[in-house]
Amino acid sequence: MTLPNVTGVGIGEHSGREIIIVFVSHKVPKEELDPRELIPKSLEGYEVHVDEIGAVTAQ
Amino acid sequence: MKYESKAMLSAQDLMGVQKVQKTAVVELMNMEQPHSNVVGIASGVKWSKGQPTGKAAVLVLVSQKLEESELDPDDVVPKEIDGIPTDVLAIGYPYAGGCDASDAGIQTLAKRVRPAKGGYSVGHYQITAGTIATGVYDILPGGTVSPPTHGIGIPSKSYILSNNHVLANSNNASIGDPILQPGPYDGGSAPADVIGNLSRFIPITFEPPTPRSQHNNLVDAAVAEVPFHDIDREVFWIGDIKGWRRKNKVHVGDLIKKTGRTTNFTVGRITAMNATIDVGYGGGRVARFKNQFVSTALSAGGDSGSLVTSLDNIAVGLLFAGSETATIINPIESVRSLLNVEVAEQIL
Repeated sequence: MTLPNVTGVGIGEHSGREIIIVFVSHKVPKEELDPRELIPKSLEGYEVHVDEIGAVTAQ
Repeated sequence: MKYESKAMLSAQDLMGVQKVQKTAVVELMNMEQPHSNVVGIASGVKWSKGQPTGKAAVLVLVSQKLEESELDPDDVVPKEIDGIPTDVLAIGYPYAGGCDASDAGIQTLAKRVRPAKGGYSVGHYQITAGTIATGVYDILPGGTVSPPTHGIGIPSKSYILSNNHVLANSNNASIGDPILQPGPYDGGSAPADVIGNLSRFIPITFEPPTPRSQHNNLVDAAVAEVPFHDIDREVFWIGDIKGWRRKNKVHVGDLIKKTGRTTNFTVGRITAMNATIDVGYGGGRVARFKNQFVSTALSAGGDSGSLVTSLDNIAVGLLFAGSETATIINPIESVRSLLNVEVAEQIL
């Protein structure tokens, strides 16, 4: 959660398999990110999905 | 030119100003040297002395306007950019959903009602308005939290369950403070609409002052003691709650529902669990929560505190935050064990 725009991380499900969901305030084209700022496609064998969630606030 | 036409821009003017707008974004909103208070840039019309002038302008949206003398010279918005005039517009802090309670749909749940039920408006006397989850009581003698078991006996007190930021003004409240039903935004006032008093709350750790990497927030929860006859623990449109579900029995893909003050009855689906998520509380305060459920969007400002249940009326969580595309929910198991309250008599 130290990467820019990342606001959360959770466990989700995709086609019957557990995945890692990375919540971001907004998605940015790859070209505009530093390679160190890219979210990896997988982590310790789990597929990683990026979910654009917007600004999360108390309601 | 008429007033209306002076407030509008021709397509040609709009194209011209949009080019300059890009420059303005780079100059005023870059992350290395952000201009104080600038929250957005837009294209529009220059206003002068309260009247539209008809001239295209770059609108600089700021959280608040300040006199030039109070600003660092680097923070002053230039009078024009590439020949196009600028206009500064104060809009406050924008955020999706928001802490501010929005207008309730048909005002049903924003009304005063006794006994109150889950789904109705409630709030600490210094906030806007939130939602009553349901009626709860202290865990009975013999009951435990880990592993959870139910006790037996006679509850000595009854409470309304909702969020800390609804009943305890985000930590800025004193035990015993009056709680209004409906909440102040919906017209509730003391002493006529006092339904009870703040009894206890789980403090939230905020950044600032604590860096969010050190946060251990699990719930945004509080209870207010109310007379037994003033709270009906049924939830409007949902009905009686049959039991509650442990955190590890809730799964991604499960369908859920809630009734809340603002968006009334809604249905959604759990999209993530065990989530760590940063939540804005307004005024630049952020709290990082661990072990949360995330669902499809089923709420808006003012729905905070709603009880989230399965389709067959088993309590799974306490709604407290959201964005335009998602809702964030505390597991009811954490709420039960931290506040030491019982929501229903069975673990299902």
